[in-house]
Parts: sequence; structure tokens; C-alpha cells
Amino acid sequence: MDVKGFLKILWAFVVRDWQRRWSYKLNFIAMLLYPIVWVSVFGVLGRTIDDAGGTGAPGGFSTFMVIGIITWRFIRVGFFDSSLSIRWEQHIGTFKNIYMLPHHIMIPISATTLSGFTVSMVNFVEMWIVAELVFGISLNITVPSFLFLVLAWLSIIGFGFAIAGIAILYKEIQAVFTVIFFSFQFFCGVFYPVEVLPKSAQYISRAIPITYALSGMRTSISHGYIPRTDLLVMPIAGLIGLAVGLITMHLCLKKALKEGKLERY
Amino acid sequence: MVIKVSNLRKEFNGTMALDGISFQVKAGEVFGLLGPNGAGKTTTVKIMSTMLLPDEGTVEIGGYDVVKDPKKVRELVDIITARDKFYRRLTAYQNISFFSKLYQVDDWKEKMENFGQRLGLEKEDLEKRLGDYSTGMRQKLNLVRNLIRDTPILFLDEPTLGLDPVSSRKFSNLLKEIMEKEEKTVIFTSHNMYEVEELCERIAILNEGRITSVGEPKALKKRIFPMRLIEFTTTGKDGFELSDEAVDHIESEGNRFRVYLKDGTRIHELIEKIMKTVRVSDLSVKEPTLEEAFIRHTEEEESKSKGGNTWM
Repeated sequence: MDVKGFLKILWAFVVRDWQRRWSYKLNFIAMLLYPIVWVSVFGVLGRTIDDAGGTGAPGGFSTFMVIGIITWRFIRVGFFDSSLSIRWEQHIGTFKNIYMLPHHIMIPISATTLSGFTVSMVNFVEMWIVAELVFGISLNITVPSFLFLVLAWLSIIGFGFAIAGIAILYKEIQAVFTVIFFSFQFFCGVFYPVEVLPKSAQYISRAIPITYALSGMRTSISHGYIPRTDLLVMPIAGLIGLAVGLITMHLCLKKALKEGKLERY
Repeated sequence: MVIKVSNLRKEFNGTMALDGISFQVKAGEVFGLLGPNGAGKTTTVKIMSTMLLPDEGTVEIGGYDVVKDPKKVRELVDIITARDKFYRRLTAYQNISFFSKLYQVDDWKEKMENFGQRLGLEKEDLEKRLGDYSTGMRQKLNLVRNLIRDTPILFLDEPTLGLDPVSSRKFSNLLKEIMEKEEKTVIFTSHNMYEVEELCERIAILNEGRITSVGEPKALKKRIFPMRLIEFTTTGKDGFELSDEAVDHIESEGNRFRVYLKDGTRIHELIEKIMKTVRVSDLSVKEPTLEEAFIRHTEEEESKSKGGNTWM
């Protein structure tokens, strides 16, 4: 399939997903309001801590918090879009029609995930505007820092693909991985620096790419450069994550095809 | 041959779903797979449509192996089942627009309206959300989706399951009309004998993962169930008896009688004999339906596999 063909398929998914979101009007409004509420809550919390003397974080604790939740939100949407891509179609009963296309199954799955990227972008812009206009937090997001964020997103969608594959065979595994994913909030320094964690927990933090994504984004926005370690870790983590995700997906699809579990939910 | 199935085997957790089935289908032919629940019909269709890998055997669709060239096979094949769904919150237009983009069909709207009209879906129906569709309307839209995609081979896996008898009959009449016009090669599975008899040029009867009979519906009926039936009502209240070696058995309900003949060779002679014996108000000669033939065949096969006597 050529690029034009893929873009047509991608466009079909983007249109379908926004039409579906728009069909649930209140959910649609909630989807837009949720990141604004979130950034506001943590913006106020950060400012309160800054007013009480602060934590010494560069740009203040409010900046620290806001960059943390913007990055986290971006990654979170990517994780759920990739990991739920197959399960959602199976649940509705449309997976067979998508599978019966004369393309590799990863094409529609990637298109679904990229369609979710548009939601990440909308939320990202919303939070950025609120942070700048409401809280006066200057988020100097440059092209390299944005590309770095996309790398972080790529590293997590690989993890999502792997879960999507495993979930074809073991339906309930999604819940386990969701808990693991949310535990990353604890380990990766979304709301506080990883240095405040016990030493043993910090070892786990260093093994999760999201830690580097958050630290890289913070340094990039506050100081205008991305630390070398983070710059090195993210592309490698992204590539490894994608490779593991695609291999896992391939193996699981093969097993599902053998066991007749492809269509079932 | 556009479809070649050779020695197909599939086992699920120690249960043999398909036990070495083979058949071939010509281009443009409508081929039926008939069998009781669990006979292996859907398993066969899933393997042929690349949704399931066989343990042994091969399937070639249009010259492509379903295991080695699944993408090429999916270019030629589409499948319609009663389980097919759409996005409930989207309208029919939005749904078909989405799938048409995936199929890379640009003039989908015109086609959708044309096919929709032929199938009884008016423009106002197409503007409705799928959540407001009945099962029958949804199956019609499913057929529209396939016709827009326009694959030369179509698998219909119990497409009328869940429809009421009237909708089911209407839908199979539509299918017949479409099949005649579009000249597609069709594999059809159903429990509905009327549909199978009406639509299929040849039928394979599956039982416990094996093909037990293949042939044209009429020939198959004759082979499996050669009996003929004379049905009549007597005007008097007297009973009725007929002793003849051509008679298999007689059933009665009040003054309504059904005389089952072993075959159709001496039918006129026996009618005369009946007319001489009793006063008859109406009389008709019937062939067994495919349903009767199918039930008899399945019972015979079950009996054989249990090592017992065959039916009757």
C-alpha cells in the first residue's frame, strides 16, 4: 500500500472517530473540559506550593506540575488508543469487516491509533493555552521538544500494541496492564520529582521510558535543551517499544488465527 | 474452479470440527453448505475467508492459497454473517462512507443509494442512525456494504439468522435477485432449507465435520429421500387402509390421510386404487421437502455413527 492509500484509510478513521465522539454530545464536551479542569487543579496546587516557599523546581512547582500532566495526558491517550484498538472493534462487532480488508491488519490498527493522536493534540493545545493564559506559566514548547513528546508517545504505543495483541487471547489482561500503566504515575515523576521516592523505587523509575520523557520535556521547556541521556533513551525506547509491540501483536494474531479467537470478544 | 477445498482438517480442544472435507466450486456458482449445529459450516467459511488457520489441508480461492496469500484472498472475498455490526451511533451514510474509504471506493454514495433503493432502504432510512435500525434493515445495509465493495466471491454465513420468517423470506428473495444480476460466486450456509433450495445450485451436507452428500438440491432430495407422498381428505367417516408393497407407511389425522410411497414409479396406479377404496374430496401428490430430506439424512448419519439402524 502506498502513502496516499494509507492516508485515505487514516482519514476514514479520523472522520469516523470524531463523528462518533460528536454523537455523544455531553461526552464530547467532557472530553474537551477534562484536560482544562485537570490543568487548572494542578496549576492552583502548584501555585499554592510556590506561594508557600516552593520546592526549588526550575520555573516553580506549578510549571513542574503542568508540564508533567500535559506530557502524561499525551502519553495516556496514546496508550489507551493503541491498547484498545482491536478490543473496541471486537466488542462492537466490526472487527471482522476491518480484518477482511486486503491489507495487513497493522494498517487499520495504526490508523486507529493515529486517529487518537488527534485527540492528544487537541488536549495538548487546550492545556497549553490554559497554562499560558490562566496561570501565566510560560511553556516555551519548541519543535525539538514537541518531537521529543512524539517519541515518548511512540514508546508507549508499542507497549499498547503488545497489550492489544495479548488481549485478543486473554480478554481480561487489559485490566492488569491498565493498573500497571497507572502505577507509572507513581514511579515516573508526573506530580513530583523521582528523587523523592525511596532508592529502590527509583531503580524502577529509571527502567520506564516515561521517566525520561517527563524529565526531557521539563528541561526542554524550562531550559531550552533536552538532556543527552533523555535524548538518547527516548528514540531507543521508542524503537524497542514499537518492535516489541509489533512482534507481540504478530505472534498473538497468529495464535488467535489458529485458535479461532480473532472475531470473538 | 474458483474455489478448491482439499482435505481440510481443524480441531478445537480435542474436538474434530472438520475431518478432511473437500469440495470445489465453479465461477458464478451458488454453493450451499448445509448441516446441523456444530457440523463445521462456519469453521469452513472462516478458513476460506482467512479468519482461521487450518490444521491440515489446503484452500485455494481464485488460485491463491488462504494461508500463504491471505491478502490476495481478501481482495477477492467478502463475508456476510448475521453477527455483522455497524457503528450504532453513526448514520447509515456515515457508516458506509467509512467502510467505502477503507475499500477505496470513491463513488460510494451513488452506489449506496442505488443498491439501498433496490433493497428497500430509502434515503430517509440511510439518514438514520444504525441504533434505530431493525435486524432486517441492518442486514440489508450489510448487503449494500458488500455490493459497494463488489468482490467476485461472497460468503453468506447464515445471513438470515435472527430475522422473522417474513423478513427472512424477503431477504432471501433479494439475495436471489442480486446473485442473478451480479454473477458472483457464492458460498451459502443456512439452517433455512427454503433459502438453500431456492438459492443454491449445488449443496454439500456436512455432519460432524465430514461431507456426507453433495449434489443439486433436486437430485440430492431424490437420492436421500426417494419417497413420494399422496395426501387426501375423505368425505366419509370410514377409516382407510391400503395394502401394497409400494406403500411405505400411512399417517392420518381425522379424515386427512398421507400415504408415503417408497418411490414415484407406480404413483398413478396407487391413486386409482385409493379412489376406488374411498370417496376423496381433494388429493395431491407431493415431493418431500429438502428439510425432510435433510432431517432424514442427518438422522441416518447419526444412527450410522452410533452403530444403530438407519431411520425407518
